[in-house]
Amino acid sequence: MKTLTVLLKREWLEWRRVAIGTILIVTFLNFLMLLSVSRGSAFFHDKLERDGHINLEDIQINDESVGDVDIRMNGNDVEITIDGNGASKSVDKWMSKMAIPIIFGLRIGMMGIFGFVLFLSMFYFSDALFKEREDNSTLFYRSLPVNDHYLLGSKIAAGLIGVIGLTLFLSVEYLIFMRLAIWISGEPFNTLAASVLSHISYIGMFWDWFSYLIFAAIHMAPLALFLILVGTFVKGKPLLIGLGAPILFSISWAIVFQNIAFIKYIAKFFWGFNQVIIDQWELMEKGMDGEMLVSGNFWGYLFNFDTLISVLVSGLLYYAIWHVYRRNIPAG
Amino acid sequence: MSALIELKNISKSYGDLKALDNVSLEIAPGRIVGLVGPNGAGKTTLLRALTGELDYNGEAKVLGYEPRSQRAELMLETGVIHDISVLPSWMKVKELLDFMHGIHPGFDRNKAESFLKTTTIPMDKKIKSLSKGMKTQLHLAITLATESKLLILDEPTHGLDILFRKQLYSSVLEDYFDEEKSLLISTHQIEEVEHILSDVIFINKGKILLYASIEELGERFTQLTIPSDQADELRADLKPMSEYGILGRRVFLLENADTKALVKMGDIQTPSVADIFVALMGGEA
Repeated sequence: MKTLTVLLKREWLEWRRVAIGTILIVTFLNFLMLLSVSRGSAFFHDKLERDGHINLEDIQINDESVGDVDIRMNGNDVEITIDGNGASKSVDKWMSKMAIPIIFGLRIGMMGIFGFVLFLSMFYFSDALFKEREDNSTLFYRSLPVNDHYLLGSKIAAGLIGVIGLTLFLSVEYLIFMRLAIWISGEPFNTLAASVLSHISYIGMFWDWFSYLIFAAIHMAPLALFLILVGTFVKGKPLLIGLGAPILFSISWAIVFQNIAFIKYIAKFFWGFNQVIIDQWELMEKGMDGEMLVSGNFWGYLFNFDTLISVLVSGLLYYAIWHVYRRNIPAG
Repeated sequence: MSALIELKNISKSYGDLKALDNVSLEIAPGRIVGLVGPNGAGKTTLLRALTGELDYNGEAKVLGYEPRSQRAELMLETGVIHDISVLPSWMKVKELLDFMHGIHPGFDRNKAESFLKTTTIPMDKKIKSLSKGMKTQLHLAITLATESKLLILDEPTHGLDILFRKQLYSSVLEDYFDEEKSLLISTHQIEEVEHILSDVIFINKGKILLYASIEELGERFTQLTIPSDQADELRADLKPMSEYGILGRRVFLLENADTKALVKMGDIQTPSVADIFVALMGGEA
């Protein structure tokens, strides 16, 4: 266990700049969002102060006309008056509809974070062994009293822990910034958002994210291991070759055999990650009438045919990596 | 005492090229063995087979371990320095010491630091910023600090200047070698190490041409220097392995010759390992 910890620490030392850089970039983007919100909020509050109320005419949500909405401050209380076709709807129903853009924003942000980390992880996995070959340090690591499986396992484990840890950290940061943005917007948005957010079970949400990330890690393992395998023998550009070769093969297959099965598989592979996020954020479709999150789907995600295929393919790829790794093929 | 290294019919091919061709050896512990051969002779392949870094056909035991399946256990008692810089270039010197301290149970950090204090290697610099000589010194420092029973040096002075070369071998002898430890040094620059060797192995085209102790070499090979005008006559009788001319005289290198008889013919000397090596390779110095 100590050996694995030391090897994982080595991975952290080597890749910490990428991890910290990513956090700094996302934090910068979050600050930009805050700045944008605060400027919009200032305009809104100036108008509220000057006119005493804000009238939003002919509001439509999901192509359904709600009517004119009048927002007025009464001390610290928010008064919302709806006048039009949607006036018959209860305020709760209206609030539920209003929550959809907030959830949409959350979902887009989360997809952006997940996608960004997925992109970064491809760099990591393709370089994991290639960089060692490039500076010949494979020979150094293999001259240490460490089993090959520890050396390889630490690379894979560091990648998966990094993907899950970084995604969770950035997700939490994004949530905090979202809450800050709403707080900066001030009343009446704050009251509205508080009402929406009070429906969120944070424990359920984090469990759901964690479940999703475990799911993503298992389903991404064949791609990650394939990229590592490519990095064990190519002379250069492992990411380009690792991603380009399957795509080129799929296109060639489609042209020669008039069959797009491989293109479909690749599309399904990447869309699969997105689909799970869509499934999780059911509120996008159902509003507050639906469940905020599909928490508790962990086992449902894990035990299915696709997972079995992923595990089997990963096992075969791992064996191939181990076999090629022992050959110490120099890079360059 | 059981052999330090036992090899039986070790072969390794790269496509059509036979890098090792049925190599069989037994090396006793407590020796300083020079593995000598020209470029491409199979020295590095043999050393990498010994350390389990590549697959091979045949049977091998190093310190009682089978190198391929017990590489981790073997490396606990074996230190290796390669002919190229293999330390992770992105690490700082201090991080490398931390890493070794965590990963190698036999690593003595104080010993490594003491060694490094005698050099100009800065602790807070990345390895990639060090010179070739510094990288070798650093690798030597961490390898000597592991207290291994067997130290394998694969052309360790490759690309180093004369000062670093001298320093490297004196460090190995002073800080590492004792009767319980063994050294296997691969080189094609035999003049550098022949004064410290106890045994020598000549290898060419993947085959072992000779394995003998330095004493055995002295008994087996003789160098005879004669006037040039006697060369033709004596050449036919003595059948020298090789010969060369110097200052109007001819020098014959002879194997298993009667030294008492040779004294009457000219000056006799013990040939250098380099001369024997050249003779066995079939060249003329």
